[in-house]
Amino acid sequence: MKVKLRCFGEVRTAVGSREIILEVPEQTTLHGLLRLLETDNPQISLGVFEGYGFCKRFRVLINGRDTFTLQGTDTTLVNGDIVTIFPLIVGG
Amino acid sequence: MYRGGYTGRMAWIDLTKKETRIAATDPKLTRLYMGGAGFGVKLLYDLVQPGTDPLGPSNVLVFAPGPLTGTSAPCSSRITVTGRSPLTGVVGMATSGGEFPAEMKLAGFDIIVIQGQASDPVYLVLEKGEVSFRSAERIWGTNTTDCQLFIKEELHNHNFRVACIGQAGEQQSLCSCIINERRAMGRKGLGAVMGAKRLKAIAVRGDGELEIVDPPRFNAERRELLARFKAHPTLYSEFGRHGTSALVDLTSEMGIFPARNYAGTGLFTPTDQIGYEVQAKDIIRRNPCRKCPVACSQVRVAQSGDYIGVLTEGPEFETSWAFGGATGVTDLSAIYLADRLCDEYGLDTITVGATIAFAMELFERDILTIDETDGLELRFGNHKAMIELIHRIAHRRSFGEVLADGALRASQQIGRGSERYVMHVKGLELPGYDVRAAKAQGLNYATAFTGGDHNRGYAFQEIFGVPDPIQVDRFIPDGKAELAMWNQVMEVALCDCPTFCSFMISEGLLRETEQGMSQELTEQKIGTVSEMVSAATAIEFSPSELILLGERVNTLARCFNLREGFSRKDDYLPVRLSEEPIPAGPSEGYLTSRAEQDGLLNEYYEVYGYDQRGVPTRERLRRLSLESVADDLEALGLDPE
Repeated sequence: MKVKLRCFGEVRTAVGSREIILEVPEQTTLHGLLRLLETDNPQISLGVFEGYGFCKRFRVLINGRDTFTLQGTDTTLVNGDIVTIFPLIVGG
Repeated sequence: MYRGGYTGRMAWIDLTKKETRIAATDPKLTRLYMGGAGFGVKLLYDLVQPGTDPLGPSNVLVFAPGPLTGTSAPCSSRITVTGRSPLTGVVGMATSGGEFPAEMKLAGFDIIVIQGQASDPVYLVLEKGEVSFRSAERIWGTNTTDCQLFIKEELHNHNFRVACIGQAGEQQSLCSCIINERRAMGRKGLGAVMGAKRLKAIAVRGDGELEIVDPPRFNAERRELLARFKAHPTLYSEFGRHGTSALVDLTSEMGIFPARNYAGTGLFTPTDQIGYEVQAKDIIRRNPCRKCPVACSQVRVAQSGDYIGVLTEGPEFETSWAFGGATGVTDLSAIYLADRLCDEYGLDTITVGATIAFAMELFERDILTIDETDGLELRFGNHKAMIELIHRIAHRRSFGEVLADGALRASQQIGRGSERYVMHVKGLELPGYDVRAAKAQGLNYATAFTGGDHNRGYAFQEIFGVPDPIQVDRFIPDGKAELAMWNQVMEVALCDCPTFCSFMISEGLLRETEQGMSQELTEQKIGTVSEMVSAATAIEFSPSELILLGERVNTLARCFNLREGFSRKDDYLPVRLSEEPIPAGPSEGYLTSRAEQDGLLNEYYEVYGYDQRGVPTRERLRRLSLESVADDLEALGLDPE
């Protein structure tokens, strides 16, 4: 299945593109996707999220939703999902 | 009497008589209202009688920093200005940073109260605890940059800091604001109040630093705060580098970037044209507020586009949204120019952008014709028409006259069903978060005492995903009444009274605790502010007193609005947000129904200790040391329970 990854900040720099389409096996979890991303891009250290999607430096959204409102990093992705990795931002 | 933090002096300035009375800062005022927003709301309530014409001589402008302003507390150079808003009719409060706030304290003043109306244009000079009047005849008609420059040259001292109005304030446009340096005391039309008073500017100049009564205690807490800033994973690396611009992209990813006057949320997300990574290429330097180690404010120069070469300090996220998303414009240089023009004319970028977006929607719907717009093809995305309209609004010229007092008044003039497309609460145009899919933020828009304002209780838990004090799902209304109140109380108690920059609430101002909004946990979280204000002033402001302060100021402001005839009926979001779902994107399908709003309001009033009309109970007022306000409400027939 295909999952769209949208990257910002240092993840974008490492990946080299704002948006990439990844071909991943069915039943891939968010955790699996992020591990794959780290494996393919050793310069990225996402610190892959203990707990439910909120980590110290990044915010991860699946289809615009915070992952803690789903099943956190255990969320199973489905074909066409959009995963956003954004540096934690503040301000307003 | 005052040993630190406060100067102990306030200036009562009567423009009609051109007289100043210097008085001691009232200890009761400092004890119950601390500074900043507290001073502003209390003095507004006491001085401005119900029904006062906001543009008449009886309205006031209260300029008030807080006890930490002018000290070495980081991110503390902030000020509030308060008056009755001519745009909304409710409390008009605006805040700003930069150099002016600290300089005003060092010039010797805790508060400046402006009353009356000058017979001819004047500006004020505050230095060494004295106030003098100067003629502003020769600078009436100047933009804000020239005005500031002229005053510094006339005073033979470029170290003066100046807050002033541009042409828009002089024209009493209700879209106008007050500009200090390149910062704005924005929204609510307070520039028009200055213009009506024929007060062009206030220049301040101070020396030295304010005394801190207990330096070891103060410095220990200050070091701890700076350590938390340093430990923050992205405060310096991301926020210090990009400022608020990253919100263009984040809100787009969340599906809450309100496009085309809120009709196109999710359909139009121009991050590739106007997003933060594009904006980053244009940054030439940073321009921090005084005592701010973060420096989120950026100066940018357009490297491409129709207005290549234009320089602006900004644009902040809200401005990028107002002149980008709201109007459908994708030429970044046009957004920079719009930002710069608004700074020069002294116009509020949110109100102006939102009002132009409203007019664009009317044009697209054939409610407005090209004859009425004086030849302007007001289609979404037409940046040339947008820029031209800014000039016309500032000078009240041709169709600009219709828009110069904001979207609600424009709709009243235009009629033909146009009121449906005004995105406002209490007459204040909504900012750049589509709250159909951010429920606490939406409740704050609805209930903020200044109208549709994102700065009275910003729901950073929903927008940034920061789990402090609790982690929340932005799509659901459950628990949001309590959270909205928590945010509103903290905004006042931690930021607008002491003063600290609001951005710091989610960036280290709060001590780390387990999650929760209980009294006990909240008191632990806010210990830093309590410690620093107490150490600076030798007046103990305990955490529990800080919470009461926030509740007191918010409640007194609500009572001011009740006294002006506002009520529960004014605490609702625009009809579009309750009837039209977000059309596309990650938040597609969400709306905030009237029933949902009713439920949220019922809970909100309950947690604040108000009845279901939104009127504070007598018992609640008594607990907040506002007994006499209950009598005021009773005299108006509101009969608090």
